[in-house]
This record gives sequence, structure tokens and C-alpha cells, in this order.
Amino acid sequence: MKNFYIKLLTIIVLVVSIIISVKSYYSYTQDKNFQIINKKQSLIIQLSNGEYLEIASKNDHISDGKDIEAKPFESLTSIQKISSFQNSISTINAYSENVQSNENSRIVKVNPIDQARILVEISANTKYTYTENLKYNIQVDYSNKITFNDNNKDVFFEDEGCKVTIPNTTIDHKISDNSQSVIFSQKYQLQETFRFYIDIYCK
Amino acid sequence: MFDLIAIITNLGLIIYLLVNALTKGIGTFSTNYVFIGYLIFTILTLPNLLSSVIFKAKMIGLSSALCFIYYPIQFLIAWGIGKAFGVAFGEVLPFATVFTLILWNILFLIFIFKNQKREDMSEGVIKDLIMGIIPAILIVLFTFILIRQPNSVVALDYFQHLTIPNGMFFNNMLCITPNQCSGLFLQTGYTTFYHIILGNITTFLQIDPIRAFYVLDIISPIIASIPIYAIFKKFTSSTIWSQVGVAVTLLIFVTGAYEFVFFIPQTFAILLFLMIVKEQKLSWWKLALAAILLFSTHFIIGAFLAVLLIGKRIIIENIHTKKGVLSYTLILLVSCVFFGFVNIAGFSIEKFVQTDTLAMIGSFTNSYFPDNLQVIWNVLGSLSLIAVLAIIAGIFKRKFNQAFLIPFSFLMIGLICYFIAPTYANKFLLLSGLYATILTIEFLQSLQFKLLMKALVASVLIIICGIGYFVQYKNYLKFYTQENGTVSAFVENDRAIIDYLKRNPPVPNTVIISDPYTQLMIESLANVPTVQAQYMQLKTRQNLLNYLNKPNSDTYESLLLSPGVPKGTTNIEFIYSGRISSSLVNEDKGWLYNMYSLPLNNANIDISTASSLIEDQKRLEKDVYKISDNFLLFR
Repeated sequence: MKNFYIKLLTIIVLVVSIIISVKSYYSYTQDKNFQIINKKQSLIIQLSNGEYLEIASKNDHISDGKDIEAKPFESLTSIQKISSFQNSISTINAYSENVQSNENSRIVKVNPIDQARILVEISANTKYTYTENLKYNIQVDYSNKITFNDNNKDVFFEDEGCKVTIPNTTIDHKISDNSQSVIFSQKYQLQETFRFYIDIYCK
Repeated sequence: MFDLIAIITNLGLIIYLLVNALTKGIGTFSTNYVFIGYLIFTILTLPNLLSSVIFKAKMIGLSSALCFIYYPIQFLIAWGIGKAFGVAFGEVLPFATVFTLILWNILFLIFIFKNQKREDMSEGVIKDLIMGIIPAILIVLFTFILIRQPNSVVALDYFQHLTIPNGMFFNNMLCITPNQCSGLFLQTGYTTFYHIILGNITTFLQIDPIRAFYVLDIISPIIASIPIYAIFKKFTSSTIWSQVGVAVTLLIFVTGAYEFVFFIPQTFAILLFLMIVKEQKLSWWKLALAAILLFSTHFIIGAFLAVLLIGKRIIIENIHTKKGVLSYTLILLVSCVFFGFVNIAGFSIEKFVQTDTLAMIGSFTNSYFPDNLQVIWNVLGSLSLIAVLAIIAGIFKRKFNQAFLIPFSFLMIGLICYFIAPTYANKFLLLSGLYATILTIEFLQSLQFKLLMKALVASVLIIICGIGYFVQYKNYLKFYTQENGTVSAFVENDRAIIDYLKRNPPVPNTVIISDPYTQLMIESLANVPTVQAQYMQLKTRQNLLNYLNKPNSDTYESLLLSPGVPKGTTNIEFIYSGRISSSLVNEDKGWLYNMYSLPLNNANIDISTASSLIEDQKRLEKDVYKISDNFLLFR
């Protein structure tokens, strides 16, 4: 009897294993919707429609909406990229960029969860004197001019067969004047962390 | 029957090669896949025959592992002959390799015919060999049809290691450690034991290295399957379960360890270990010999494997009671969990002890929580779920079982080392696939499924591991995917500069400077000295870029005095590559900060980016040679 239950449990585990394996295979085929390019001075999410999303440290800015406007990573003193070679040898399917500008530092980690979802985490360490209403802003730029839709929950747009959604955004955000960027803002802190998902679906 | 199959196969191959030699000439052997495969197979299995025929020992065991010493001994004899007769190494070593081929055939015939006289022992041994390699051949077909491209080389290590036999062969050097022969080894991690074998496979007979590496990747899992099968046969006494074990083990792609994917020093140490680990109750002097052998193959992995053997001899083989087994397994489990938490808390050896090494490399070499757990999951995949079930069942089993205790212990020790995380801790996951598979197979066998169910369970196991293997391997290949879709570390554009430098080598005391990737290709394939090739130090990379941006006497002098430029260098020749050009055009500076940021693609040169360099090189009385659209040589 005991052996029967162990056999049953083994078969259940094997069935679960098959499901997980097939899922991991589909996750591997993520290139259908996007590819991540981690070269030069930004991180690029290349869409299958030929356009791309870009997260560049030089676009980070600190402002109070009136007098103060600073770009902590406008000129970089160091860039470290986790190359695809390192991804290969470490088996982690995440792309990261670590930049420094004198005593300011910033790490971006872009982690494809599956073939349609990417987790973006940005951590910045900067040293500015806090004033009222001071905010740290990051930008996600799109290579084409588009109309952003914002339903107070998701930010999304459609362009040339691809739908890009930033779902369940709890972070304050607005669309840039040129209608090509989403700007996320948080109250300024010495150590700032942004964490959000990007869903991409291309026909 | 199996004897006959072996004899006919060997005879067929020899006839094919003889016909080829007569019709196309012996020179074509350097690119002939069949000859390269035959050469590799004979070189890697000669020690088994030596063990069986000469030493009357087991074909797979400590004796066969020790018989690999044949190659260093043969090499020393060749060196002695060369010295005695005043002949260069390059003229003696080809004869040594040919002698190996002949010796293999003689021993093979003795093995078959001598054993036939006494109870036809060879029939059983060859049957076991064939049974073991059948699943390996199927996995190799799966890999080389669905994953790898023809002639692809997907490990930069091969190019790095090739510089050693090249140094010995072309420069008449006798090296005990790699850095005596080449500047590409920042640390001394092994003796040249492996490199002598690699030389027999490639350099000594002037075999095309690209093809040799490709065929080596095909043959090495098949060779590895022989001791793996023997291990499973010992634990399961079942041919079918052993074959399933071989298939599943080969389908675990352990990134960092690459046990059954490539033939490099660490995987050579693993092959030797697999031969030895099967032995029961090794005497102390035999254990010492095994430890020395493993250590000389790889100072870290070999030493680690030697410690496992010693631990097996001292602890595991002396546990005979159920109580002892329970206490021992719990101690190991608790230790593993403890070190897992220590790692999560932020501790690692590379962070706290190896800071100098990290500064040299330019980044961490390990993943950290939660990514490091993800790595384990990526490696073992769904097999880990069944292995966990097998471990739980094994701990609570009434009877003492070595088939549980040995793989469980080795798996836990590997995980502990992985969590302690010295640099490149991934390597300590080596053989985790084998251990998890032994646990799983032993567990599944104990369930005594009926035939149909057994076939179904075995098939499911192979399928889930096959999917994981496919995904892991393909992810690994991303770095080697070139812009034109070719998946290989060797970029066809680089052939022009390699061929040119082979025909027109630099004068003595010259060092060639280029981007790290180009340096690796020309040092390994054209045998010219560079500034530590792909391991060009970060400071030197910065000085190179400074000179390229502002070519003048000051920046040139800084470059000349940079770390890694060999002492006694009187002349520097620049190779301005498409990789350098595109790095300047695109301001891609990743390669300056991290040793592993290596651009693979070699674009056409934008000549405007080299104009000031051309001017400054004129000051140094260097002419510029356009080798191809991708290379300018300043000589």
C-alpha cells in the first residue's frame, strides 16, 4: 500500500515536471516578441516590429518642478555590462548595466520572465540635498511617436502590430511632451528603487 | 558477436583511411572528419586498453585512469630523443602520435584474441561498452543535429589551451605548467598533462584545430558514457536502467562545469574521477596515486574530486548501520542548509577573500541569491523535483544503501562549496546531474514498476531532461551567435589575418596588440605572441584605448609599459580590427571594464577612425597593410 502511494506521488511529480519543462521551453522561445540588447550606453528592448524601447541612464533626472533640474548620470565614469557571454556562463537570463558618474551609481536589471513579460529593476544611489517636492525621474523611451493610453492602472500603446503595456503601475508617471517616453517619478531618496513590468505582445 | 562488430568496425575504418590516403593523399587527413574522430577515440581509449592488456586490470578503474600517464611519459621520451639527436620537437612528436595509433590497434587485437582463449571475456566487456555508448550516440545525434552547427567551436577555452601544444611544438618548449609556454594563463591552475593529450589530438599531426574541437565535442560524451554506464551498472545491475542513467546524465548541461560537453582540463579531471570512483575500498597508496593524478590534471577541480574520493574512503565506506547513515545524512543536509543561509545573508569567499581576483576580472564571477538558486534550478530543472523525492525516500529507507549515500554526499558537498562561493563557484555543481540521476534511477528502480510503466517513466525522464538540456545549451550559445546567424567562436572574417600571420610571422621579440578577441584568435591559430589575448588586463585595455584615441609618444609609451606586455619586447605591431573600429564608432566601452565583455562580431573598418593612428605609426616608421576589410596591420 505504501509503495502504491509513493508510485502515485512519483507519477504526479513526473507530470508536474513535464508541465514545468514545456513552460521553460516556451519561455526560451521569448524572442518571438522581443530581444534585449545590452551594449553601448543603454539597455534596449528590441521589438519584433523593428522599433525599440530604451532605458538610458543619461535620461534620469532629479527635479522639484521649478528651479532644480539635475542629471546625475549625464557623463559616466564607468559602465559595466553583464555581457551575454557572462549570461551564458552564469546561466542567468538577466541583463544588467552598472554605471557610475563620480560618486553616483545606478544598476539596471532587465529580466525576461517569459516570452511576453519583462521585469525591470532600477536602483540608483545619488547624493543630492533634499528639498521639498524633489523627485527622482526615470524614463522609458520608445523609438517612434505614439499615443500612450493611461487608464490609471496600466500604461499601454499599440504600434505596428505590437502592444506594449506597463501593467499595474503604482509609481507616479506621466507621458513626455514629445509623446515618446513614459516618465516615472518617485520622491527623492539617497537610494532609489523602481520596479515594474513591461508586457509585450506582437502579432 | 560483439567482438566481431568491434573488429569489423575498426577494420572498415582502417580500410577507408588507407583508400583515402592512396587516392587523396595523407595530407587530407588534417581535415578528414573520420580520421580526426578515429584519432580522438583511440587517444582517449588507449589507457583503457593499456590497463586491460598490459596491466591485466579492469578496463575502467583506477588503473585505466593512471594509464593516461602514458601521454606525458611518451612526451618526455620524445623530448629526450629530440635532445639526444639534436632534433626539434616538431619533428619527433608526429611520430609519437602515429605510434599511439599503431599501439592502440595492436592492443585491441591482443585484447580480443587473447581473451577469446580464456572464456571470451572481451565479448562481455565490448557488449557493455556498446550498451553504454548507444544512449550517448543518440544524445550526440540530438545535440549535433538540433543544437550545434557544423564545425562550430563553442568554447573559447579550446583556443586558449591550444596555445600550449603550439608553444611546445613550434617553439621547442618543454613546459610543466601552462604559463611557462603561454602568457594567456593568469593563474596556474593545472599542469600541462591535459595539453599534451590535446597536442596529440590537434597540433602534433597538424590537424585543423576547428574541426578537431568540433569532433572532440562529439566524441568526448561518448567516451564519458563508458565509465558512467559502468557506475550505473554497478548500482542498478540493470542494462536498461543504466542506459537511461547514461542518457539522463548526459542531458544535464551544467554551465560552468561542462562535464560532458567539452574536453577541457576540468572535464578531463572529471573523466578520470568517473573511472576511479567506481572502485571499492582503495588502499591508501592507490588513493594517494589517484589524488596526485587528479590534482595534476586540475589544481582546484582535481583537488576537490580527490577530497571526495578520500571522504568516500574514510567516511562513507565505513558507515554500516542505519543509525550512522541517518546521522551522517542529517549532518550533511543541515550543513548544506546552513551554508545556503550564510550565502543568502551575503557571505561569499569571492566577496570577502578574493577581492584582488575580482578587481582583475572586473566583476563578480558568481550569481547571488535568489539568482544562484535559479542557476541550480536551470541546471537540474525538473529532475531536481524527482531527486528531492528520491532523497526523502532514501533517508527513510530501512536498508543501508551505497547507491544512495555516495551520490547524496557528493551532491551535498558540491552544493556547500557552491554556496560558500569562491570565484567560479558554478564549477562545483559538477556532476550534480550524475548524482541526481543516480539517486533518481535508484529510487525509480526500487518502485518496481511494470514493464510498460517503467518504459513510460524512463521516457518522461529523458524528455524532461532533454528539454532542459536543449534550452540550457541554446542559452549558452547566445554569446557565440554571430550577426550572420553562424553560431561559433570562430569568426570566418578572422581567417584573413590568421592566414597572413602564418605566412608572414612577426620578427622575434615582437608582440602583437589588438582587441582581446582578435588577440585570442591569432595567438591560438597563428601562434603569434599577443598581450595575454582575451585576458588582456583592464589597465592595458584602457592604455590601448588611450593610444587609439590620442596616438602620440606618451600614450604609446604607456601602452608599451602596460601589464601583460612580455619582458624583452622590442617591437609592437598593431592590428586595427573591425572590433576596435566599431567600439570607437559606437562608444562601446564595455570591454574596458570587464574581462568577459568580448565583442564577437568583426565589422568592416571605418577608416576615418584610424587616420590619426596611421599618422602616428608613420612616426614609428611602420607601414600599414590592409589585410582585409576587417584588419589593418601596422608593421
